[in-house]
Amino acid sequence: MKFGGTSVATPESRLLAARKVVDAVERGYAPVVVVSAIGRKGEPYATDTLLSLLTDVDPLVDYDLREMDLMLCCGEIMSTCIFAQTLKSLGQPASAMTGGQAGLITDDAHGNARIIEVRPHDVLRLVEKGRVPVVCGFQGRSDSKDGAVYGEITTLGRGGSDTTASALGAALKAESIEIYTDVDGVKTADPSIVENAPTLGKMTYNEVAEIAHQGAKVLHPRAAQIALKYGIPLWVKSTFTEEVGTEIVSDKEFPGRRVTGVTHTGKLVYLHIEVSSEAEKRVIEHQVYRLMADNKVNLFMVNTHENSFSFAVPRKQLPKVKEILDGLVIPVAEGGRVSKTFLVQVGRAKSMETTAQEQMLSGLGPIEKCQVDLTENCTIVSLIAHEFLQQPGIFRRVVEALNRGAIKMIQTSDSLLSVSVLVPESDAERAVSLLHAEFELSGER
Amino acid sequence: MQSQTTFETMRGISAVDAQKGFSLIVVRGLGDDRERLSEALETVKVAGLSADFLKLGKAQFSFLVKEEDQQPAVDALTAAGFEASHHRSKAVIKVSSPNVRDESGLMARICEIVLASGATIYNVGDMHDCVQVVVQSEKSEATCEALRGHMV
Repeated sequence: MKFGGTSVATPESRLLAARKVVDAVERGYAPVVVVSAIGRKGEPYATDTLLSLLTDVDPLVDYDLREMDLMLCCGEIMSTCIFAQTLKSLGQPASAMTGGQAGLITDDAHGNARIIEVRPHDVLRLVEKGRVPVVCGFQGRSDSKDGAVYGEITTLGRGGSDTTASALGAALKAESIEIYTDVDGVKTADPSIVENAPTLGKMTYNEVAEIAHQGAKVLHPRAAQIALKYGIPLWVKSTFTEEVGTEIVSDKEFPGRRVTGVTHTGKLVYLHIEVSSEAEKRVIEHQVYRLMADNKVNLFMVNTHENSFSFAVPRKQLPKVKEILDGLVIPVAEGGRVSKTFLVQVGRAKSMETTAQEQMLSGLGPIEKCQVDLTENCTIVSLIAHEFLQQPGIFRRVVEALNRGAIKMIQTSDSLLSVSVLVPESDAERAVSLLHAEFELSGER
Repeated sequence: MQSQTTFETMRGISAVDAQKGFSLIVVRGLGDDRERLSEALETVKVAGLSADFLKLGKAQFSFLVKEEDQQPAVDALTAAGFEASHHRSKAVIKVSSPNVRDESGLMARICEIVLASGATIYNVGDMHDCVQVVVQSEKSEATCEALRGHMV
């Protein structure tokens, strides 16, 4: 049973959560609890708040990822102690455990560690004693190396507590993994946009992983992938209601053709680069992707045409992208000699970097400007479906629905499980509503 | 170098395979009129075809069909007054790479490797456990090999 930040945010919510645990014990189960840090962004003990304590020391001094992990772990440690104490106040013996104590062994990638192994002996020992183990989500411990006796505390990255719950569930061969949150299951759309968005009664691991991949904040794909791999039923339920929630099962257990939901994600900037010849475009494209990869820039909606290529990047990475690309000089060789030199300019206005490069290169022959056009404030709206998208006419319905709302489609992409459209951020909510209506998702699910 | 995992799916590229036998259909002369795009997609639908890997461009769009469907697609679009052409021998490379959006720079690295292998990228799509890249068939094996060279 995993309880997210809002489920453990207040004494009242913790009591509701703890009663669900006690109820499970009374029904004859031996629950193992995983909790997130208390509250969400901006709240005193939330993960982001703890991180800001570190960054606020001096924003100009980089922090060590190792220390970051130590700092972030405090949130979950406090949360497990308080939750265990809440269980005790209801008469249920319980013990708080760190991720490492619960046997979650990870690799050594601080900030985004992967679980290598789960050694749940101490968890089982507590269960056998009739205690409820309350385990810190989002964290683990790396194995010792480089002569150190003990390993390091690590954190699992985005969606880490869900991943902890799935991994422990798999290691303990749990009957089910229950993820408790503040909504009563996985919805067909964000209920703050589509008020009547129904809760899905059942869906597959692939559907939930994809809906999360495309932006729904329900369950991290890693958690779904582990549950799928180990064949454990997964539930998404509300801490605050007695609704049955969403059951997540395999494709075999829930076949059929259906639209699952509509999501939106990310604050993105779309970059479009035109080059006069296809051969030269290849050279520039290759160089740009290499630099984006080396500098760990995330790309979305990668697209290429004969004389142009384009992609979106997260808005927060735009300064880095500008720093990499603006004023970049790309020589193009022909027959072993440089035949042309391109100077990259990001945006319509010439920056100081570009002007300086232009002056320096002026004696070296012809310089061609390679302009990067920016479309700022975009987001991706996606339709998620199961065995549905390979039918004739799906894209037409998406295009028509968005046309009806006069919503500009900047770019599209699709896969077996989703159709995505890049739209202006200001139109995202309308786009979600229009697609939700077009595919009649408000009915009984 | 980060160590890798066996409990969770490995980060990075964990498998690569290619499926050949696709054609790229390009429809030009649409202007900026999204109604025309919608009409063209209706034509594709009436022809009983699914427009996969749809990509918008300046006054044009393209999509992928199975090779056996390329002529019916072009015929239907031409009959409906659209300027359509087909470009055969395309392959879809499936690069298994879970949670690509959490692995900063991985999508760019995949594109870089594909281009370095000599292939042209026609389209890229991603889902929670893989990235799909459309390239020319004759380059697909070399591209797969290049990508496998970066497998974890």
